[in-house]
Amino acid sequence: MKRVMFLTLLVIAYAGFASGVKPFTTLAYVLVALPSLAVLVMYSVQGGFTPHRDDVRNYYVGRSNDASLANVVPWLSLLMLAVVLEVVGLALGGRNKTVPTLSTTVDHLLVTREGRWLLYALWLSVGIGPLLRLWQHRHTARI
Amino acid sequence: MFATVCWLILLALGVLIELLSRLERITTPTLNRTGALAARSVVGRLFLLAFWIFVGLHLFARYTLPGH
Repeated sequence: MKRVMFLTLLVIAYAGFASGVKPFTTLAYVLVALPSLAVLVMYSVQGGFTPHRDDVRNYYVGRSNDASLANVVPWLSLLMLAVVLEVVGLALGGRNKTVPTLSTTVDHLLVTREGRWLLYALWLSVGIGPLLRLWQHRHTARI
Repeated sequence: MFATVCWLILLALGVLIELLSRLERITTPTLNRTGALAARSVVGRLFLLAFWIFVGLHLFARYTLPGH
């Protein structure tokens, strides 16, 4: 629990700092690369990218429960619609005012520091959350 | 404007599916469980991680506003 609290505070603080950095600067790239590399290394250490690791595969089979390609059709349909909209937006130049791409739409949320902070924290949580759950599962299984 | 509304509709549909799934009104799994389904294979895990890194780079290191 303390570890989760610490990580939550770290994510909020990191996102707060990183959201104040201007894009297209070296620091902006470094600040995205640091958590990306950390997550990549941690997944590798947990065996997430090692083929034939039954324990890791079983963990995800357990987490996905009865999910199958047949019952995730609504999600796949949404994904397909998003891809179509994105392709049309890109075909029109990416910044067309009638059909903007998803990132151009989201960019408007990134204008304010608060919006960037929130999205940065959300992005970090999406990357770190599943890793933390995998680590906790493996740690509990070892005990 | 038209596509922005389409994006918002897609977002609303996603929230609706997630909500109905959590309330067990539909058999569709939650987004979390769907992600776990994709993560069953090493290729799926690599794809999810690569997509996450791409989103981070695209939004926070390379974002630009139209007209700016």
